[in-house]
Amino acid sequence: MTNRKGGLSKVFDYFCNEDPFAEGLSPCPGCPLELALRLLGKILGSQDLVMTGTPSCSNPVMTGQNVGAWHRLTAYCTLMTGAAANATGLSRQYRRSGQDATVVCFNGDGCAADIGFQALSGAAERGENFIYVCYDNEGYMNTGVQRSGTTPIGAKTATTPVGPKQRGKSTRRKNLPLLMAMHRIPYAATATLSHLEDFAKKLLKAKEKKNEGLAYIHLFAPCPTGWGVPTHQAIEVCRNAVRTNYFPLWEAEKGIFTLTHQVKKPKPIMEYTRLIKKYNHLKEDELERIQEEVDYEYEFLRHLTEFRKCVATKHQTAGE
Amino acid sequence: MIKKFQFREEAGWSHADEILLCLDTGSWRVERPVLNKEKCNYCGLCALFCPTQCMVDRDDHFEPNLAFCKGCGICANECPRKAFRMRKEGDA
Repeated sequence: MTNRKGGLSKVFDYFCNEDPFAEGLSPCPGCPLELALRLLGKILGSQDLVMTGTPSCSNPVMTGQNVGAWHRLTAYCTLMTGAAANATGLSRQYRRSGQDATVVCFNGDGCAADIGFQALSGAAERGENFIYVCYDNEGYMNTGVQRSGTTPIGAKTATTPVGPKQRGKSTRRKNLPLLMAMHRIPYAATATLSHLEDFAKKLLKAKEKKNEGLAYIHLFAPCPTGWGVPTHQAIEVCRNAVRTNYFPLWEAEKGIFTLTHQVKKPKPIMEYTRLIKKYNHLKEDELERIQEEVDYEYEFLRHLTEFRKCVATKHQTAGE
Repeated sequence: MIKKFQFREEAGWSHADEILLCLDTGSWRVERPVLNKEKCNYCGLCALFCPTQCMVDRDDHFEPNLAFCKGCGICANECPRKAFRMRKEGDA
């Protein structure tokens, strides 16, 4: 498996496959989405990978222009409402004809959380055999930074402006990874691009678990253009999102939660919001409100991880 | 070189068995990363986090392929030893 050289870190072992993409792709400079796409090919290998996606920032690259292609993967583009249903059809056809394929449905948060949620939820319930990767940039970035279901409270977007009557989005975000884990699918996880080993492990695990049913990965990918993040800080934003517990890294197997990266001393949310222009207007009390939301969600998650112990002891007593 | 696709069915309209489409992303750059080799300890973090994955392995350091480097500066920001510095294009 390994072809890394002596001095390099073990992390490189996960990225040993050839990059299936051309060298010059169209995403904006510093876009974590481009990194995610390239690493997806490098981690899973391009031989048996079938990508399906919807109109989004990833789509021009995945579909190609006219008869030219940007990559050597198999890709199919569909409508947002039926993204998961389309992946269902693909994975079933490949299984029926005895071909070993890893179908990856690669969508943005607008498709996963809002437009295509019914198809996704249906596929999770039916236990379809594919990997659903949602890259969460907290809005409809490709069409001009409109708010979506996963846009957090207080964030400034094109449709939730800051003015005398409104100060960013007034409602809280939808916790999509948690929703998906509550379907008790074989594998649901959150990942981000500052923790690449964690991301690679989760993708490989999802590839394994997809034989039992839907595997879902929620990938936190900031949008430098839409959020107003300097291009060089895109990865730092991911890291601070984890360090402030804004985006905790966890995985859930059939509803049993585990934290994969425990933050010992979570930083205040200010450490995360100060990097991003869409939070520039926030005052002290608004920051406190966001901190409360983050604390609530993290505390909720922590209690869910403790639930595992209850299940374990119950099984033990049942065994006795 | 990646082998030809293994599946019988193929969907879509673009052909990947010939030359791939490729943009001249090097021309987007306003700043370019310059490496200070003395500070570099060949940890490879710059190559891991580079969104264009354009870092070329030179055995004891990584070198950006300036034909495709978009000049985002992630390598300079993520380097724990600050071995990369961003210089304005056109400066010596």
